[in-house]
Amino acid sequence: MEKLQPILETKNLKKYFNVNAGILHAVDDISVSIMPRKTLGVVGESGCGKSTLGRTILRLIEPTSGEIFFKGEKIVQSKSARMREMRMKMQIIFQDPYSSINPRMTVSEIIAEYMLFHKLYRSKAEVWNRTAQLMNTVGLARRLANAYPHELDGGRRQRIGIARALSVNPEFIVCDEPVSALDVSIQAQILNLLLELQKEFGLTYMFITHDLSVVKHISDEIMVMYLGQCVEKAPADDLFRNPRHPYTKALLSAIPVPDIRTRDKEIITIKGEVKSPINPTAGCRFAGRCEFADNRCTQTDVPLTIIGQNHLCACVRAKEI
Amino acid sequence: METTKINAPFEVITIKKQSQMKEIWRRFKKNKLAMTGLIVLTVMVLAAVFAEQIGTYETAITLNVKNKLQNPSWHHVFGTDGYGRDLFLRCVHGGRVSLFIGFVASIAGMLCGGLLGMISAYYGNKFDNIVMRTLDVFSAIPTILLALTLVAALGQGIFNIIVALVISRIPAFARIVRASTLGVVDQEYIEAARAGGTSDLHIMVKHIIPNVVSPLIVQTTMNVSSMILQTASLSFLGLGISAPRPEWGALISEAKEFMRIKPFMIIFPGLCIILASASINLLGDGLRDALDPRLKS
Repeated sequence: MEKLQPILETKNLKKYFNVNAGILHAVDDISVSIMPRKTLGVVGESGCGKSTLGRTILRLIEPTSGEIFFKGEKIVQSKSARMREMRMKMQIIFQDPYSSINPRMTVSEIIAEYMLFHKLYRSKAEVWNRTAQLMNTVGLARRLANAYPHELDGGRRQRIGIARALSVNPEFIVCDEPVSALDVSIQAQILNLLLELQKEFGLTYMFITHDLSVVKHISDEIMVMYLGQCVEKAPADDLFRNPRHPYTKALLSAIPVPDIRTRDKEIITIKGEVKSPINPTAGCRFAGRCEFADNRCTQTDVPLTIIGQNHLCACVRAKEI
Repeated sequence: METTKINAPFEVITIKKQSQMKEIWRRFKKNKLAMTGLIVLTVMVLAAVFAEQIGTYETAITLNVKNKLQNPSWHHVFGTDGYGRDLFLRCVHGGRVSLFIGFVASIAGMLCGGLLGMISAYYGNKFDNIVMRTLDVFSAIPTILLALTLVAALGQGIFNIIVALVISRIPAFARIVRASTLGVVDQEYIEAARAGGTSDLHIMVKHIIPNVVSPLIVQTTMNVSSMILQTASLSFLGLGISAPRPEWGALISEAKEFMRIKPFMIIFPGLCIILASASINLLGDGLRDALDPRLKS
C-alpha cells in the first residue's frame, strides 16, 4: 500500500469564511488520502462542511491554508492555466441536477461543452461522436441529444451531469451528494451507474453524502465529519462493524432497518443543537451533545488518534466506550 | 428518420445547429401579436429607409405658406403644417431620425450598460462596488438634465444626442443586468463550468448572457419609445434636432400651437410614435418568448 501513490491527498486543509459574527470554520484541519480506484465516503450532517471540502479540493473555493496534492503535485499554488489542465483530471458531480445544468443548452451541448472549450478533438464531428458515446455510457437515449433539460426528469439530468464530468476523461471525481435530490428508485440506478463507471474507467471517487446506507454501498473507506472536523475515519466494513466515536455510533444506530423484528431496537438519539461553527471554542465539538462527555473533552482539542488498523478516531474515551 | 439518427450520431447535431434559428423563428411565427409588430415595424423602417423615394427631403422642408394648415386630403394624406409642408412626408422623414436615434441609442445603451452590469456582478466585491456607486451618481441626476448638459457641452447633432441618451440610460441597463446576473452566478452550472476548466469569458458568453437576455430584451424594446420621446423633449427645449429637419417629437412640439384648430397635426406624428413603440414592444415580447426553450410548445 505504501508503494502506491495516493491520487489525492490533503494535508491540514482548512477553509474559514469571514462572516459578520466572526470566523466560520467550514473545513478544519482535514487530512485525507485516497488511493487510485478507491472510494472515500464522506458523511456528516447538513452544514458540517462536506460540500465545502469537496469544492475546496477542486479549488472551486480557495483553501485558507493546508496543502492539496493531486498525484503528488501541489495544486494550491498552481497558476490558473495549469489548474485548467488539472481540472480535466479531477471533476465534480453536483447534488442538484436542476441547477447544475444550464437550462438554455441542449443535452448534447452540455455534454460537449468542456470538450469544445479545451479542443480535445480535432473536429467537431469527433466531439459529437464522443458525445453520443458518452450518452450511451451513462444510459441516455440518443434521441435526447437535442432535448432541453427541463424536458427531462431528475435521474436523466443527473446522467447528463455524469456524462459531462466524464467527457474530459478524469481520474478523480468528487461526487457531491449525487443522489440525494433523486427519488429512491432512481438513486439505486445512479449509484450502480457510478460503480460501473468506476470499474470501467478506473475512477477514484470522493463520495459526499449524508445517507449512510448509500455510503456503505459504495465506499472503501469512510470519513465521518462533524462541524468541519474529521471525527472518525476507517475502512467501510470496520466502521460499520466497530464504530468508536459516539457520534458515529449514534449515526449508525439511526439507519432505518426495513425489518419488523428490529422495531424495538433502541436508537441512540443525539440531543441538543449543533454547536455554531463560528469561532468554535477549544475541545471536542461534539462534547455538548455527547452522553459520554467529561471535563477532558472540553479542555483541549481532541486530536485524531490511531485506535486500530487504519482506524482513526477523535475521541478521548474511544477506548473505554 | 429515427434510424438515421441512431446510425449517425453527429449528423443529428449538425442538423440541429441549423435548426436552432429555425426553431426560434418557428416559435416566433406562432405569436400573432409579435408578427403584427414585426410587420408594422418593417413597414415603418422601410418607409424611413426609402424616404427619399417617397418624397425628397427638399420637399419636406421647403416652405409653401399658401398651402398652410390644410386638412388631410388625397393630395396631402396627413394634411399640411403651419408652413404648408406635407405632414405625411415630414412624418416619413422624421421617422428616419426618430427610429435611428431610438434604435441606436437603445442598443448602444444595452450593450454598454449590460456589459458593465454583467462584469460588475460577475467579479463582485470591490469592482462591483466602485462601478455601481459610480452609476448611482449618474442616476441621481435627472435624465433630461444630464442629456441637456451633455448636449450643451458636446454640441448639437444626432451623434451627440445619441451619446447623451446612451449615457443617461447606462445605469438602468447596468442595474437590470447586474440583478439578473447575480441570480445566475450562484447557480451550480456556473460552478460546473468553472470545474470544467473553462474561462471567465466562456462562462459569460455561454452561460450568463443566454440566461439574462429576457429582461434585457424587454428593457431594450421599452427603451426605444422612451428614447424617441427623450429626443422629442430635447428638440422641444431647442437642444435636439434643429429645425427645419423633421423628427416625430419635434413635429408634435411644432404642432402644439395649432392643437385646438388642427388636432390632426399632433395626432399623426403621435400615432407614428405610438405605432412604432407598440410594435417594438410586441416584437420584443415575442422575441423573448421565442428565445426561451422552456416555453417551447
